Amino acid sequence: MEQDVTRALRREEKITLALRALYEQYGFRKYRMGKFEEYELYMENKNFLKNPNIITFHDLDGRLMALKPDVTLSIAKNTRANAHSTEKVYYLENVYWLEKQSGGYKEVNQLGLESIGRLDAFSYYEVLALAQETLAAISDSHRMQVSHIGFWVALLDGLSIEEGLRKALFACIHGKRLHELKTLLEGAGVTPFAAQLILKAASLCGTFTDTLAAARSIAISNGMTDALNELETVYGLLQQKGCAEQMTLDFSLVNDCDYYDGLIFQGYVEGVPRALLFGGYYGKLLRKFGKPLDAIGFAVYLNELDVLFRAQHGADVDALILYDETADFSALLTKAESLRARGGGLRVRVEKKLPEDVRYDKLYRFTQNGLEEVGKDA
Amino acid sequence: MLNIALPKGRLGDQVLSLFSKIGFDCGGIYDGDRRLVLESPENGVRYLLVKPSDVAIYVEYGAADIGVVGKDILLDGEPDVYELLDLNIGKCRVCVAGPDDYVEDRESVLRVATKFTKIAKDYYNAKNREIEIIKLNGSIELAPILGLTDVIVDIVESGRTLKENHLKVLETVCPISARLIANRASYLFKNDIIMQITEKLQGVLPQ
Repeated sequence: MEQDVTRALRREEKITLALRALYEQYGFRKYRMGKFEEYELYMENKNFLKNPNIITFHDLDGRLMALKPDVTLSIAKNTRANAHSTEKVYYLENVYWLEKQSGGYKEVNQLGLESIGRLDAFSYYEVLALAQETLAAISDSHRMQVSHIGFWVALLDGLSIEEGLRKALFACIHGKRLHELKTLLEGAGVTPFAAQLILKAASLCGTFTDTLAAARSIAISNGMTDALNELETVYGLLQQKGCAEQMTLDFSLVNDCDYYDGLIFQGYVEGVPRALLFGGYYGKLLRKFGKPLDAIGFAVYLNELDVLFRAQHGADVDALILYDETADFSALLTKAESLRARGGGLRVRVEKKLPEDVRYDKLYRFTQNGLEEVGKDA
Repeated sequence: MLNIALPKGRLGDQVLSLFSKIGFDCGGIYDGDRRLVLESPENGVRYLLVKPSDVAIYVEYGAADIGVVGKDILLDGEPDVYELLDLNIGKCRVCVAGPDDYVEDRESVLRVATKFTKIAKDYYNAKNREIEIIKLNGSIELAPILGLTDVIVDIVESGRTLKENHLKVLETVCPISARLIANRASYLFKNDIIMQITEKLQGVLPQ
């Protein structure tokens, strides 16, 4: 009799499997990589790391190695994509980060995908659609914030805002600290016109169509218009696919500007207090590796699902059978096996005493008369 | 139900009164008692009264959707939250203070007592001044009096405590006031009520 092997999987494992199948449907291939990378890669690309604290060790040949803090850097460095051929890969890997609150390192299980090559708005749409479907696979109640770093860079370039000021500006914008942004702009001697445009742009947030129209009204350069056109094209395709409803256009999404330099997006599901999906366009990183290509991808941090599904995990076993010292082991075996064979393979545990830490759906007592149900839904 | 984390104490009382003004009172059940949760089901809000330094943690980790917290806590902890409003209440300054007769010895490493280690570190890093930080959690003023440190970095409101301990303000690090913060996910999933509260608060803030 065929057994339903997925019964043994936790909900997050089932989601991971479903997503892998989804990514393969779009032609993405599984990318497997080593656990370690030479530390030099991260030293040379520190700006592209979300978390600069890295676990290092010396290999036997003296090379300084690192436990991966990031997957995209390794994929971007080793990509076989070129001007004529794109590479579409997905991965399921562990990365290692320093956690701020506990002050210790943690292992993060990351599922993500990357599309690299000469890309266009259709490629960007596909990645955003997959990001949306990833969130939908996790929860019906999900949201995605989308923005465009190119819009901001073109605005600040057009207003001749110096590089030194931009980091502080982006920090205020990312935190929606408009009151502090105003003070910062005044203190930096930015013209009232420029300050007004930056404040307006920083406050642009809401439904896609309305926010896009408001953003167009402050576009002062071709670079800004190009960014908005790209957003509009991608949004149109997402609408056609029917997965644009949960999207918010929010120009305060400007984190990781060193990493992303085009479309940027973040995904949330209700019940998880922070974003669990991060993605965007990172052509700048490819150019740094001497590959003038486009690249877009996202990663979802599966550890966050623990918070979401912790309360939703069901019983550990479907049935728990208790026997006593008078039990006939041969009859017990027969009963347990017949129970296991039911419904595609029930999970049945046989014990002499009731274990303290096992959740069961049904509790049976094995007697001379056979199995007698004595409890439910522990 | 919107969970709102507020700092216990005087600032919390002021904030409850502000929320009451905009129609989100806690049903007249708050009279300085020791309860930590005040619910107002008719307004759809629940107030959580927590230690001031924990407000940002409650909000960042989603136990509260929004909260009110001093800027000092935000600067020192850098929680990943939205900071939606400066409420213009609970105003004070983070200052460097030292004994009345203090003269800085610029050849020595400056010893600084503070509970705001990040603020102190950032301030002196920007000045390229080498310091040794001694983290204390209370009665910071004692440190320079006993020779434990040269100066302190602490909150100064009226300056009375400093004066009574023969200390004076040497430099102002930054002004502080209470801020309305929001959890990033809550901002998306409960946007209507959070924006409603933000806009209403904006209308009743002291200038």
